[in-house]
Amino acid sequence: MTTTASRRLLTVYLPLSLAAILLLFPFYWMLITSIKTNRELIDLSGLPFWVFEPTLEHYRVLFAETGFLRWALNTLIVSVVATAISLACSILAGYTLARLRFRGAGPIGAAIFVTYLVPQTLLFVPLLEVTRQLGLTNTLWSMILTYPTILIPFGTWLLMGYFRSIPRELEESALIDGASRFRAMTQIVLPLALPGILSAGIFSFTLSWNEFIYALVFTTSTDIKTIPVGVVTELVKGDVYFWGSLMAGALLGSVPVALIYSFFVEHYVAGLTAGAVKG
Amino acid sequence: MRAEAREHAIAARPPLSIGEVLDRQGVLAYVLLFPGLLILTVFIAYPFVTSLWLAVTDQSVSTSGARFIGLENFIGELGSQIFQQTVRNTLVYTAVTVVFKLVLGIALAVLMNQSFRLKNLARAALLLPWIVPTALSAIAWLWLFDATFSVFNWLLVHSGLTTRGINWLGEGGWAMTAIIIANVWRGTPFFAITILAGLQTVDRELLEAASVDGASTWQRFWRITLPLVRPVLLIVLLFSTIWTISDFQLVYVLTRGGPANSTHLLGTLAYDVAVRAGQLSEGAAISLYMFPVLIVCVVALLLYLRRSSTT
Amino acid sequence: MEAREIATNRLSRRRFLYGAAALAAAACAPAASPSPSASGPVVLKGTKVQLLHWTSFVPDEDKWFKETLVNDWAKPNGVDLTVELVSANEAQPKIVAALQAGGGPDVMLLQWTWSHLYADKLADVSDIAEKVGSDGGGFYDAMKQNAQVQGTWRAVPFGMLGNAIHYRDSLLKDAGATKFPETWSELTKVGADVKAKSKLFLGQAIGHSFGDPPTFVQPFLWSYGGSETDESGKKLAVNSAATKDALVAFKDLFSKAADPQVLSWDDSANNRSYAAKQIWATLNGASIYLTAVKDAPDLAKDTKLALLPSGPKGQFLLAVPFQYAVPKYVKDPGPARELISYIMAPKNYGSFMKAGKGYTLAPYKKGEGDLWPSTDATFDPFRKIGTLTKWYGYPAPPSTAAAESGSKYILVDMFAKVAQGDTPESAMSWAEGELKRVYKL
Repeated sequence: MTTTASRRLLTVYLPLSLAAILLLFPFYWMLITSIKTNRELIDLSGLPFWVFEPTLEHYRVLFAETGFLRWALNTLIVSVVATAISLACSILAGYTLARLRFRGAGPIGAAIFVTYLVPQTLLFVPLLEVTRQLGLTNTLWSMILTYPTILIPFGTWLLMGYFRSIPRELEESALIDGASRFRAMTQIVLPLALPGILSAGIFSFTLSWNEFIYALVFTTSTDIKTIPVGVVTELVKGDVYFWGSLMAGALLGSVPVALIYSFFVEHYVAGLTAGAVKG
Repeated sequence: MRAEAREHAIAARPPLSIGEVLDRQGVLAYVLLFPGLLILTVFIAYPFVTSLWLAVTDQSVSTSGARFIGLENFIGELGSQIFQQTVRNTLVYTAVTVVFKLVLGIALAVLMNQSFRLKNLARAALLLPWIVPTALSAIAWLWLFDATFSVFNWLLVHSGLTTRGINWLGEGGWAMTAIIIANVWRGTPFFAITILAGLQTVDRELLEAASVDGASTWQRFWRITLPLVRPVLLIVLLFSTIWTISDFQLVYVLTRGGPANSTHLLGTLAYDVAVRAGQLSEGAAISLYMFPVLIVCVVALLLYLRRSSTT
Repeated sequence: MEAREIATNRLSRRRFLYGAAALAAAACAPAASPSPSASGPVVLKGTKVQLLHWTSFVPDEDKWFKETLVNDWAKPNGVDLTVELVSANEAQPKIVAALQAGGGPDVMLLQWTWSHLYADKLADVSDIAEKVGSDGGGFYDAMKQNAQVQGTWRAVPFGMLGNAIHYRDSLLKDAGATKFPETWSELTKVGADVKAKSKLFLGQAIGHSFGDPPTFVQPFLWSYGGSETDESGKKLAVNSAATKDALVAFKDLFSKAADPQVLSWDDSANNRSYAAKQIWATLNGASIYLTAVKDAPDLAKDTKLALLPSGPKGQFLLAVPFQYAVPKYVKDPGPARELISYIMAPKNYGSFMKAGKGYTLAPYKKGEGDLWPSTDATFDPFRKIGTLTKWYGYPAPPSTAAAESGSKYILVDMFAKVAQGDTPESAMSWAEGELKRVYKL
């Protein structure tokens, strides 16, 4: 009994704590930086790992003097809608590439993946021209419609693998019973593919949540900004970084998402399992 | 195996109905692909073709017209020491970070595959580095690596290991180390969670049987688990290589390519040349140098996908 | 030279007398005039103007744009003014993308020699610039060089961020010096003395960062007679005895007095390091001093400011210049031009300088005279910055090549290489190789 317990301590809890410390230390650092006073922040005499005069001033600045809540709302709207659009496109494309036999399947599949390779740092200049022509600049749509370009390729690949893992017989028996292929897809295949769809969704949501360069270039007014762009452009002033508020923004911009993920993470793993492994 | 049986089943049907199905599939396929392809065409294909065109012209922000100059931009870069150094940096950065992410990702995945309390919370928490926007986590790293206030230096000095802190972002080798650390920190969770998905498909009975036959833990991992998750490793490796080689954000925030260009990556150099110096065409050419490596990755990916779809 | 300049300014001033009258009556003027050369009355009511500005370190400067400008200009004139504030580094991708796409802000604040980089895409604003210059007592030469491209003003100088060495007076005195050194060689000696006495370094950023490294390295090189090119800008001059002298002197200063960590520094690192009393002197904008006045009065009291020392060839500076440009894509530039004229009129600019306490310096000579906002004598060295400052590519006129070399940090890296142990010869020939490509020579 005690040996198995100590064994588990050694093989599970000890390495796990080590991993947690390494991965989460920067977050701890963000947290204490966000509640230190500016004076304490640059005080080299004290112990840096602790806060002696905690303050919520940086959070006050974040909420009262910047549009943080507005940015959070924008990020949420953009991420949710861009994810929904990408999922719809990826489901359709993934299903088509996995199940249907048609001319041009190979080249189209390849083309979808090649789009993944085009660096954003190269694209944003001509892309602004496109968004302008479409009248999208400085609207949330400029992000909602461009983010799918970085989301669809991975989503399509993931779901393609997932659809392949679903036995074709299920679908075919429905087809024989006279259902249309579209019906067979929506009513039989999609429900079975839910874990895969969830994985692709989480993946897409995360990338949308993090996107920086498109959001920077396509938006102009403060009330259109997303969290990463708003925090970076408005809390770095000249040669002065507002460290406390920057870190507060970084924390509030990631921890809530992680909490939501904790409910889905099981499905995420399960979805990837079928998609990636059996793909 | 199952797919093969089904293939036979279809072939056994009367020829007319096969033709019918194929015909319907051909139309349906394009209908279903349309929305995705529309978005990709408008928002990637057009800008991408524009970029390709840029790379063979002398377009800069200062000029209104552009002149075709062939491969001059590409050839010109080869003679630049900054460019050569950047290519070397990019390769080192990509190779080292991908290897570390792979090894650490496997280790973390194996760890997370065991059962323990608050498993879901732990998994989500370990995903945090991947969730936090890079633009912001990079700023946290900037603070962690600060020459004067680096907490790592505080530890080194106070533990008596060194008398002066490491000059993290100010010395070529250390600066590269610093961006590698930050990249590995950010990328490992993605490796771990995806590999974890692979591990969960490994049949426990198989492992138990091997254990009964006297295989050690290490042997079981090396001989059974690893070959079984190889497909997933391959996929993660390829995707990560693609992301890492075109990385921009971390370096842009941490060093901007300095000191003395020792951390410039193709992405940051292209940005500096195209946006900061206004030489759009030269910047496009630098970006496009990423392509050979990326194409190799994609061909490997496609070959793998094709092979797995036919077996 | 100066007299002639003033004469032309006077001429243009007469030419624009009625323009100024129109400005005053702008709110109720009847017709719009999109042509840049005509200065007839401009309809402002109901127009929209988008101003892309950098976000200043001094919050009160931002506030002046977001509040004072909106209340005093936009609202009374019925203009829907959007002020977009972005940090210095994020401004450029937005500007480049807007110019390439042919749409975006109506007025953009450019930095350094960007007017030369984007000249073809910027409207001619010579009339406004001439008037602003003459009203303000004449632009400083560097301001003019940065904004005027081949005789045409592509932008109106907005101001500059001057910088000065911030130093701890008490530590200087402890080390036996009576005043801040006036030459680089003296500074090396005094820096070594202070280092020996107080264990503190001279901190100077030499990394890839937008403000502090280039504004230190280039004046240093110039003060020893070195430069990227000769006066014509057509012949490289970097691989020279003068550059070698500069690099040797720099190596000496660096090894005897400086902190080796500075190679990593960005513009903000020395601010923190100084505030934490880790360094005794550093070159910076007034932000260090202004922060100290607010957060650490004892440090502020001990802090004095001095301009960069002289080399054998004299004293040089490089302030970060800003200019307002109206892109050619703006269909109705009238309101945008009115906005620039309003901000730059000495009376309004004076109120802006007061808000910023002199962080941003005026581009014209009235700034160091009537408009000087500060009663704090510590700031006095800043009044001389306008006349001493040069530009990227000096002694040649500003050019796209000089801007490109700046954005690649070629000179900064040449110094960084020497600091890291490279020989001056090898650093120079490296720089020459890269500059050859940039200048296409």
